[in-house]
Amino acid sequence: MDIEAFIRQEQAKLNAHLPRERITLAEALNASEPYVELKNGGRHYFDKKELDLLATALPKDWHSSLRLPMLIRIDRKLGSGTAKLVGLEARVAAKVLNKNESDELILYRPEIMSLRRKLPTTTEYLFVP
Amino acid sequence: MATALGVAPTRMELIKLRRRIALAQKGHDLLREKMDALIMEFFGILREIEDVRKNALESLSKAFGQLSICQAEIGTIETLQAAREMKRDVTLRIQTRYLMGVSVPHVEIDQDKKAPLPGYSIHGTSAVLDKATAAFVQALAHLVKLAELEAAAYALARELERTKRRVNALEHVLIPRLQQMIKFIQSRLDEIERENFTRLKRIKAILERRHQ
Repeated sequence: MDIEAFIRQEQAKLNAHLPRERITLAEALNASEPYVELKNGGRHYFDKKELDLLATALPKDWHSSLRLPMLIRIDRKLGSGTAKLVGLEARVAAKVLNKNESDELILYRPEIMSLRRKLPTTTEYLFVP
Repeated sequence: MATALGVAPTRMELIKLRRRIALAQKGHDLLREKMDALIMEFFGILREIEDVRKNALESLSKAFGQLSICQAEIGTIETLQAAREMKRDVTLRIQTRYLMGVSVPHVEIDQDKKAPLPGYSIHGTSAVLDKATAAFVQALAHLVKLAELEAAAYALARELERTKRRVNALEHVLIPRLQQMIKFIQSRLDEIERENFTRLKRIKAILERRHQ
């Protein structure tokens, strides 16, 4: 196989697990079986306990603007083992991790692990090409 | 050598190869990031498995202890009879979840049927049997969770192996091969440049000689 085709194929596969369209926390809370359709055709279900945890931890006006799953952006420009969250997702992650709230949150490996342990189904990795 | 490496020593090819190596490096970095994230998830699950396995073993030990007490109190045959009369239907809800793009099952015992009526007669049995039943139901929940986590760990391990193979292929085969090709073209181009330089020098010397 051509090297370029192989690498492009691998890069495409990296983000195949991302949803076609994200849903809001409010929509997920109202659904009987909250899930999102993925680019690879699969379905990713959210844990109801996790949604309840988010619902109680966050102010009500955030429920209709927070989109799930929250994306942990792995950008190679940031260096190895570093990830970034932006916007409201950064504020939510900061709240969950007891950090200072800001519109951009840089996380390092132990913090990523901690966030993933607390929110395993409502967070997902995004590999920035 | 040009045929062995399958590359023509031209500037155009050099530019193409440089572009290709940059792409390969980018792909390698991304796959390495994925591998690191997979390792993180994998070890997280392993730690969780440890805890759940400990809980499952404790609850099973407790359940079998209760069963022994029950057998001693109401008799082995009566306990066996009650076990035969038990309603054993357990409904499991299996959903898919994605961990780093790896599909893993999420198994839940249906809440409505989690604590059904035991099915055996109250007459002739004792509260110890109820306790044993409850302990086994609890142990079942731990076992289901353990099965879910172990399936996730296996799926992640398979994906980890696959990703590692790709990272290694890029790191030890593709990128070095491209670097070797670039090195070859550069040395060939340098050689051509040197040849041209000496040729020009020689022509200049011949022309000067002719003028004299």
